[in-house]
Amino acid sequence: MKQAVKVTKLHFSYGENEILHGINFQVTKGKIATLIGNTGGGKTSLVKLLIGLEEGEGEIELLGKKVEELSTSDKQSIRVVFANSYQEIRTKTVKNALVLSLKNLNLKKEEINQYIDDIVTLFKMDDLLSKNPKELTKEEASIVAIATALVTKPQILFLDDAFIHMGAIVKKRIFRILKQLNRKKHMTIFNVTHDINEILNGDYVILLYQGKVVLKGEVEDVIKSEKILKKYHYELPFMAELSDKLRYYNVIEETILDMNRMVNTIWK
Amino acid sequence: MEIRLEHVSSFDQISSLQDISEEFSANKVYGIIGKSGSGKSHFGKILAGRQPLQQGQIYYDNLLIQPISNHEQYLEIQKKVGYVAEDLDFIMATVFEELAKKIKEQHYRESELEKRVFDALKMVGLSHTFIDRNPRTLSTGEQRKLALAKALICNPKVVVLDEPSFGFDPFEQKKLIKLVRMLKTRYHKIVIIISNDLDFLLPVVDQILVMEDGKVKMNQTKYQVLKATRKLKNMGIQVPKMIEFSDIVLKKKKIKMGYRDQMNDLIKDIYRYAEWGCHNQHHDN
Repeated sequence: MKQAVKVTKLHFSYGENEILHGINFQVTKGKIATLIGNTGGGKTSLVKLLIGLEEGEGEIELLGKKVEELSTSDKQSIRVVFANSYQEIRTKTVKNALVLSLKNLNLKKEEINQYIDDIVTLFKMDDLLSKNPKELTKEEASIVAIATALVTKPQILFLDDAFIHMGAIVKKRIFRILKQLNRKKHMTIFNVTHDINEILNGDYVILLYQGKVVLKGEVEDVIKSEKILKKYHYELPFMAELSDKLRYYNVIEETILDMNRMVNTIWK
Repeated sequence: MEIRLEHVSSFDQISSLQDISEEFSANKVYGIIGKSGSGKSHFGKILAGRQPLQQGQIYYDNLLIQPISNHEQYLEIQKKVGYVAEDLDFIMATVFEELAKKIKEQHYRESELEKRVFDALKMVGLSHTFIDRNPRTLSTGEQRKLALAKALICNPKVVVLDEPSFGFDPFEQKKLIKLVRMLKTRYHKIVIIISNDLDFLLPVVDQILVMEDGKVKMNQTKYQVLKATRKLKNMGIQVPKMIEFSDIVLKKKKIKMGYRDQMNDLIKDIYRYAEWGCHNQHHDN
């Protein structure tokens, strides 16, 4: 089984409005895919379909199985975090939220503690554990929402604008953790966002516009598709554009997408 | 038109404002930035009368609007201030009713109702085909537009927007920028935007207030605030990539390139400084 996500001829409507018009794409297992798309273009509907919260026409396969045939234990390895997931943490403490998240895994008590320890170490969130989620800032609560999803050690993580309440530094830190899990545990990540710069954090890009997939491909190919991105009102990511222009003027020789490396290359 | 805060303090479980005295005037757009929990949303709520004060007063011109002491005063604030909260909440069954409800609260004539609803939808760029939709079935971006229409429908003098660009793609963001500019120049409103999205804020705001721990740490023109790049970064605010790049060049190579917002200007600068090395920089300081 090579594909973590496989979507074939997927249609979806709200009443008479068709939101998704027969879309196709695949995400290889262990990759980070970034989905960008226009306001009202069907991004959140798509995520809801992928995790079985909505039903459409067509076929969705996760980890090689049709989404409607996933067993309860299969579902444990698929997690989602929405922009407002932080509001749905209703336990008395953050620790309880983590315990609750593990309840369907049938773990022994020691195992539960081990799983929680692992995530707390990874997120360095000891100080949050005994807090009441209601007392957290949105930024802290959004971190907890992601930690609650990751504590179960999922194989696929869907993120729908999950970083929207995080400042730049925190967002970078959390993404570094996600990348680490992606590399070491081969967790597949499906990140839905508005920020074109985020595609540089991943391997694969899908551009959804008015319910159709208008561009898909590896990151290095997508950043060469400036014309198509422009057609759908997206600029190139800043570093991709800068790199392009500096190569054109022979200031640098190869594409450089890391800012520090770029500065060190220009001023050797 | 002017808003004046005098020694305002206000607090709840999560955030607080401590002894704030500031002024806002018409024909200007203000940005309020600060990290999560700094009190910036709280600031928006007190301006819109959604959160009580523990101390101090807020005046619109010479009219005292906070602390609120009776229902008439509350209605007056609702009329004067259009407010879009960060977390949206719709209670009516259709988009039309949601907007109509707001007008009815302000005792407008029934005959005006329909026209106002359609004008408001047009202003924010939400198609009239949405009027029978349930607000809760709209996408994130569409819900924000509906909330914006609701805030503008009674033609308020002051507009307070908390994270208005959430859920907006770049195209919608550009339209929102145009709308905010129009609110300022054509309708002479005071516009206050709470957001850490500097890519969205910089093209529209004149002045930026930086919040930290319930206090206003800076109240300056946007250009002056941008000079404090390091400080903004430490607060977790994403500075525009162009500025981040110049900042790394300054930090690592001690070359001062100044503030650029056009890619071509940045390229010219790089070309200049890369070719001539560091020798030239003294001329530009």
